[in-house]
Amino acid sequence: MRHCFASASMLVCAALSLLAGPAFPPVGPEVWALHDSTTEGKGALVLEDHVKIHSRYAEFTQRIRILAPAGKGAAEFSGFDKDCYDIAGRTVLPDGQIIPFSRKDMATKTVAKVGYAEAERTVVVAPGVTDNCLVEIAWKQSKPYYDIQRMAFGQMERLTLSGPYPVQKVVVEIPKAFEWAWQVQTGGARKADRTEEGNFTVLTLEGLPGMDNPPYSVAGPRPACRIMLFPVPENLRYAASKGPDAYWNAVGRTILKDYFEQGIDKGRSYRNLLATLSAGLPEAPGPRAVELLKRLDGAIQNTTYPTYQEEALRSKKDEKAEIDPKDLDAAAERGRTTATGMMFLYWEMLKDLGLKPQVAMVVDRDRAVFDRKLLCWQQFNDLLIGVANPGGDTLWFDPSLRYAAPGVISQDYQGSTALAFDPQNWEAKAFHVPVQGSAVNQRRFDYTLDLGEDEDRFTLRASLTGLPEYGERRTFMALGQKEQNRALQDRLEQKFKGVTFTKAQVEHVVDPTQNVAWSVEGRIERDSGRRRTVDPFPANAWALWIPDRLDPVRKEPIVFPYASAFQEKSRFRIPKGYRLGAVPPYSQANAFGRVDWSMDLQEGDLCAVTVKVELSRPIAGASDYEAFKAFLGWVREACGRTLILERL
Amino acid sequence: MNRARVLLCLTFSFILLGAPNVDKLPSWARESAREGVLVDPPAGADAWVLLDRTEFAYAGSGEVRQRRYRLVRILSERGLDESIYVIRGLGGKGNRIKRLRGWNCRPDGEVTKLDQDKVVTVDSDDDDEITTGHATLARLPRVVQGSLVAFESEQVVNLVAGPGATVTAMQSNPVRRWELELATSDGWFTDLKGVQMRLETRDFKPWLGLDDVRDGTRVLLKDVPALPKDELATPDLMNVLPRVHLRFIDATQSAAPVLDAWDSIARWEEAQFRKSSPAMRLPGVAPLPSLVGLRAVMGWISHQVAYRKVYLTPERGWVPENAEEVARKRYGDCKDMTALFLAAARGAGFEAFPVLARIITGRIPADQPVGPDAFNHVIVAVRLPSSFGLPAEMATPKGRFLLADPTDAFTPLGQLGDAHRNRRVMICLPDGAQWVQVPATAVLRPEFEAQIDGQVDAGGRLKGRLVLQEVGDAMGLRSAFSEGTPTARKDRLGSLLSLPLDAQWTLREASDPRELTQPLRVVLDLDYPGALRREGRDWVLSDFLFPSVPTAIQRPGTPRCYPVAWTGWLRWTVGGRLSLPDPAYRPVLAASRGESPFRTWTWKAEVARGVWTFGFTQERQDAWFDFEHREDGVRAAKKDRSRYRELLDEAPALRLGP
Repeated sequence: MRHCFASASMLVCAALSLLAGPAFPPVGPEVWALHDSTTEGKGALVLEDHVKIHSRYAEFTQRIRILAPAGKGAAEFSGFDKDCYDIAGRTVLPDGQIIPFSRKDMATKTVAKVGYAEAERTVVVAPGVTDNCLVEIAWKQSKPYYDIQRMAFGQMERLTLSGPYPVQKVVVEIPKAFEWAWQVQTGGARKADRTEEGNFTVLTLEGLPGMDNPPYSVAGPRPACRIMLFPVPENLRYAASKGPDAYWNAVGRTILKDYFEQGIDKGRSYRNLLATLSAGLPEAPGPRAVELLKRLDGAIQNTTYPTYQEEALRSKKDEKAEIDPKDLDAAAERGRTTATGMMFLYWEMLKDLGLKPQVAMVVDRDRAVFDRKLLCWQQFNDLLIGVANPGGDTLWFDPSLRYAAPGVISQDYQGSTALAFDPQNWEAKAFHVPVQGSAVNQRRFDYTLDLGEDEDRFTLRASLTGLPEYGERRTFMALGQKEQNRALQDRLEQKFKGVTFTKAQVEHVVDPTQNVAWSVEGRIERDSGRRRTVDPFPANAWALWIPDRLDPVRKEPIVFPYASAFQEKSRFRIPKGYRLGAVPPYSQANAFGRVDWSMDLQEGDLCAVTVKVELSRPIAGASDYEAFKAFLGWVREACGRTLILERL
Repeated sequence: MNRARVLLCLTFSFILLGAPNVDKLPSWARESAREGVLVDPPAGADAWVLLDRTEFAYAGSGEVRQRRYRLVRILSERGLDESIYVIRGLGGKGNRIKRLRGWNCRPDGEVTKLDQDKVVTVDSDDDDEITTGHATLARLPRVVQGSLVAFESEQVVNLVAGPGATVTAMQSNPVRRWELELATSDGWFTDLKGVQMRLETRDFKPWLGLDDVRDGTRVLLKDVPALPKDELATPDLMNVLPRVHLRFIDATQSAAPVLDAWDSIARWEEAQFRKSSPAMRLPGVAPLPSLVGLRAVMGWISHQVAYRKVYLTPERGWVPENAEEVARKRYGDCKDMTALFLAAARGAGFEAFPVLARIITGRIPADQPVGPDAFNHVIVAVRLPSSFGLPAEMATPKGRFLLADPTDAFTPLGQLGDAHRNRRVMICLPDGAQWVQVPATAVLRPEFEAQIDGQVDAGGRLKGRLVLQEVGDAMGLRSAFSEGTPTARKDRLGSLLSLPLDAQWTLREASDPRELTQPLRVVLDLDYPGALRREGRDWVLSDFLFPSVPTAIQRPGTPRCYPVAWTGWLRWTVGGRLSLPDPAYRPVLAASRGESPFRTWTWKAEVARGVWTFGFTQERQDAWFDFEHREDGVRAAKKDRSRYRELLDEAPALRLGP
């Protein structure tokens, strides 16, 4: 009976609390006086984003002023995790009408279920939202900030408070006695203030700009406001108290050293493999490391990126067998390991060959940039292995990339700040991951055109190196030869609707000793007309993607995927009865690179057209925006040029 | 005897080369599997569906149980997609999967069964819709070329709009044997006397040679071809692909309409909307029983209620929200906005009714079998005691009605958007259905006009004023400008004009996009270096203001499968008055008039005292070439494209001297 009473009172309390909801502050006239000009053209402004952290949960409150139809998106909530509770909110209209969120505006549903594991989300759709209103929402979320051990490794909580809409004020409250370490990145806040209130440290940030995603930019360097919360493992606590240098050296001496040195199993099979692969290697460290990786990639199957044949022939037993990436003997004996196993194999072999490798912890520039003062090693995303060339730069390798040319590094890490560790002492040293030159990433397209009476025919051969080559390899690697050819043909047919591709051939996808290349043959039905327009490159995308428009002003750094050299060449004979007037060459250059278009007419009717686009500087500041726009304009001009043949 | 020998040889070759272990398949699949591995598959197929059998059983109270048996032979890597089996559901307790099993018989004899831990259910939400619906995906492991893949499932479905469905036999892969069967009392089926079953087929020819409907409850098809690929200008597929319409008629249930006649559906829908739409007043809208009153209702809904599909319960996809609740939420789908309009119109003293329609995907033919899935949209009919003189008024035997689409914020009351042109709609009245054909005259014709005035210098740089005018939301300008932000305006204009990056434009002024009685007017200052450039002997103005050359509708040399259908009604006008750097320029093409099944156009240009004046008008029109004449359609489209390209080559071109 007592139990029933307790339950009933709890229900009544819960119902009352739902009806009452959180005490949202009164809406002053200044809220309604706001004008659309405050929203940076986004149609909404977040008046306040408030986060209060407790040891077991966090409280969130948002106050969003909507000032145009486009801003209604600011009041769309993508879904609350299962550990969110006490969700409440209201929409306030300028006439004082208040529309509280009710149960009808929320639904908890399964968003994913695998076997018996289920993930639920609570969907909240704010009612009463107009193009001139205020939306307020509050919720709580369970957080195990008290638990140091469970979250000690591989976890960092990153609460991003900046978004597409500008934020007038961010308030973050964190208990003074907090088990985890924390840091707030103030982003582009106009003003930041720190005070102590009761048991909490209160940070107030004002004037955060809305985050844009302009063409050729990456998210990492954007000045976003973020709260980073992370547990500091016991073995790093003392070092952390001594500052960044001590902390990062300790990361090397504990985390990385253990990772690379503990549990490595090298036996006879490994030694035999090393002997085989190292026979006749070049002496110089750079070429020696390059050749070793090439041979290793050819000898050991990287099971993370299987080919179609490997996948089809894999037995049930192999499928179930777990691969220990540190068991290098097993890898050598069975001839296969994972991408991580490839890294350990390469690392140990370099060491055993006396090449003194280094390891670098790198950050994906599309997610973040390395912050030395953020004493949290979980901010890194990947590892690279380096070999110093005597008197020269260190060469960096990613042995996990199957069949990539040795030395090719994902564009996500290029140009970003990273930490290098020398296993002699495991001390950390900051450096910039090199931006690989345009010569590394080449795309070359050679056409032969045959301009007929009713249709034009062509052959095209594509040769690639570096990252574009690796991209193509990954596209085709999981397919058999016949399917590779079909996939290429389908891709081109989707892109070039007016072209009929009669043959497509992809080469060397599973041959690590040769670059992937492909060739196609095709034909284009010709439209009749007084003039005849010839596209010298009928099956090629432009050297770079060109956006429809660019804003007049840019605040963000310019980041192309990678430096590259693009060349397309086309040869054709001018058909009888037509003439081609002189077309002046086009040549432009600036800090980003150069663009050339040229035409050569031989024997009176043999025409050769060449376009070259060299992007030599893929990363630049916003101050180079005018040069950036000019460079893209030149690419559009050169790649879009067609020739006009006139009837004689 | 010979046939037996051949079969024996083939069986031996499979044993030698490695063949799937058919005996380990479930009994329903074995015979089809044995036959299917011994015959050549259709040329070019990636997978061959050897058997696709669906059984629908009515269980009473609107509940349908669906059993499916599917056996597929994998022929290529692309065919590996068939190792994934997808079941879509509405979620909630009334919709569930009762059984799901799978087998993979590999050519090396190994047999793998579906691991229930690998069955994944994912939410069906997308950018347009928040829903309780979900998709269940079962993936068989270790499928390779040559595998025989079998799936068996049983699903319980509560069809809110009535126990009926439309099923198409053609799939992305060819089907050797396709079966569909209905029942109310057979084996596992429930015994329900008094429930009738209806099964009707449509458009089996020219796709299928055999139309084998047995006992009115079974369909058996053999050698169903794969769906054609990569064809443009196709008609709405729901009107041309072979399909089977099925329904159970259960007069004893009341939760859903009885699917015996359109009248029953209309009455049920009217009752649903009557329940959700009691007369009400919209905030700040005077309830006037006049055209002014109706315009005020339409204006309030257009401005205050956002179109959003939010289905937080399984039945919400079919059942309208209460009108008061829609006014509170200020969002809703077509049903919800219709419910609100009906309630507000009733509040103003009008009689108003829901109208079921089909837009965008397909149209409802006169012989459409009775069923709820004929429709995908709902609008409003307001009964008019006397005419308001509006184009969207329809006189019917049951009275005069004004049709209005509350989801269309860019078409004024009194007209309908282009999505309704020449479509049949069903007015749902308390005493049944009233079908109406929407005439073109009831529809607002979308129009776009661009007028450029300015000068071109000796370097080909164009500086001037560009005025764009749009009727409706023909080019998406009105919807972009209604977003109320510079970003939305600039993005739409940037994409529409698609100018080089060194060209600059500044928005000078724009009229109110919500003022629907006038075209939207946008004025830009334009500075376009290289707008006039040398091409051979000619000087050619960039064609950025003209409609683009249409994409080829058929890959050359590939026979056409679908009829050719083109729907378009846009009127596009371009005018120009440009001072030229040299009075000796003259137009290459002074006048042209063209006509094709797809469009008509006129062009006129002159240069007088160094000023180039030109005008272009194009009117798109619907074109239709049926199965028999589809290749004529391809030829006509090619000719149209060729002639239009020729026009674009010559019209904006100038030449110096005589």
